[in-house]
Amino acid sequence: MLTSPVTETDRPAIASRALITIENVEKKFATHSGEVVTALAKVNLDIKENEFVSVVGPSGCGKTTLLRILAGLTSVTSGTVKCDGEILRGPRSDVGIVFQQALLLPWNTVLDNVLLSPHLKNDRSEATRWRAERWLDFMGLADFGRKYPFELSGGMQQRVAICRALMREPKVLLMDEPFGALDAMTRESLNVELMRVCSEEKKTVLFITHSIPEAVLLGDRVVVMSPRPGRISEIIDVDIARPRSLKTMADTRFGEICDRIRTIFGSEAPTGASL
Amino acid sequence: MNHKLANQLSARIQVIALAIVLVALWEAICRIGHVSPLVVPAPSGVAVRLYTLLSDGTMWPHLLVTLTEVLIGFAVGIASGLVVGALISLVPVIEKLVYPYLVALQTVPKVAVAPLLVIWFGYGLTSKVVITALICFFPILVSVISGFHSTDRDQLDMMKAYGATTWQTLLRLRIPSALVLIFAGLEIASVLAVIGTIVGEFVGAQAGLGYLIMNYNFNLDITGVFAVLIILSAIGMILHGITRFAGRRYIFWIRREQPAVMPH
Repeated sequence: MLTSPVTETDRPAIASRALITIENVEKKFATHSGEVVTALAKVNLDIKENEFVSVVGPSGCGKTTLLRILAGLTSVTSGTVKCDGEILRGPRSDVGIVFQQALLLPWNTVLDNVLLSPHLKNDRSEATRWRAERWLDFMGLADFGRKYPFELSGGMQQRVAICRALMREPKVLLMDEPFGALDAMTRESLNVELMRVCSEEKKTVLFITHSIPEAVLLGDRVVVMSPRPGRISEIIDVDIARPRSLKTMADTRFGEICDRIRTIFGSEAPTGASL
Repeated sequence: MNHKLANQLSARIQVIALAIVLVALWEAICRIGHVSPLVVPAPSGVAVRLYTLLSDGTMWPHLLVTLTEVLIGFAVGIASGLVVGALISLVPVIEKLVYPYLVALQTVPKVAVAPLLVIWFGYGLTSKVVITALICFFPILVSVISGFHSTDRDQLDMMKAYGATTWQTLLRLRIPSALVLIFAGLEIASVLAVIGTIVGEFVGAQAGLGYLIMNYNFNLDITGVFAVLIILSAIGMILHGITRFAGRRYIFWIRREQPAVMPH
């Protein structure tokens, strides 16, 4: 089934067009004991082109499920997800993913890992290789193309994973707590690098994290989710001008937004919960 | 790096030193205790005997026969283990249908079946190859199956998200992941291969090192038996060494020290 064709009048301003539309999405899982768990309940979210949307929430709020649905790795129980006007039915070639673990192939060199996507499409051209080397260079890994993943630190491996995702020239970048397993220093430097990529490359990003400051620093909007059942409790606009840097975290406005998100979590915590 | 190399070297030297001490002790006990060479021959006697057997040409034809049987049997065992293992891992129907039978077959002691195989396949090369292949088959089969099951789920998701086809996922992810365990199985099988061939030769053969041992044993030539045993363990060690070396070459990304696989 074709969806209604996108005409010129439908998209007055490309910049504000919704690239991803999530409508009434619900996801239920059956556990081993046969119990049905609602991972996501009636989620509605529009993500505009070139927008950076952060998602925060405690574990079990369905944020990873939401990302897996957008990645085409998990189907929805009900509702629809549209990407670029088409109903999503599986992994798309214009979507890049970065997982919590780098998940590089240990038997391939760094360069071959970055070239995974072109190689899967049998693209072994010199131009593509050059592009991969440029991304590595951009991420500060110019001298590491011939190394193997086990010779790299965790932060460097995650940079390689980002390069690998960017090689798909994705319109959408899905990131599932990509810096969650890294130490605070590495994490901050990668935050800066990610902002640099996004400002130069104009990507639409869905970024999942459990760190409130990280979500606010990177995001144009922060989607706050809560568990049991997983749902969006609030969407907060981050009205802090770009370009941002680590110094942004010292702004009063930055603190206010972080506090507001913490208040949402506080008010949603069940009474009597020991935290 | 140099420090590590020096450490490894000193460990090697220690192992060799221990061997020298043990052999010297053995020689001393034989001489001082006047142990009859019909029970335990002195190492010096064994060494002389080994030299004669190799220099007068007695050993070589038998060595060649055994080596041929071991290598062909090992190769057949590897090939069949890999093919059957891959089929079982990748085609669920076959796993459900065939695997229980394979487990049942595995419980039959292969050594006990050896006389049957000699009757079926004759006194020559074929029966030894079959026994060797059978003994090597199971550890390889099991390692292939567990190897394919060991693929990381997150990696599978990653490949799917990156649009890899089933075939591409197999070639680029599942087979390389499985290699780690497959090489462990090959190491076990490499040692079992020699055992398989010798068992076959014990049951019925006209040539080979196993045949030679039986012959010497029958003539109470214990020194000769010991000499052949040394050659046999040398074959086993070399085969194991080559397999291990190939494994380390192939699965270089496993950085941790591989634990030595002890054959049962």
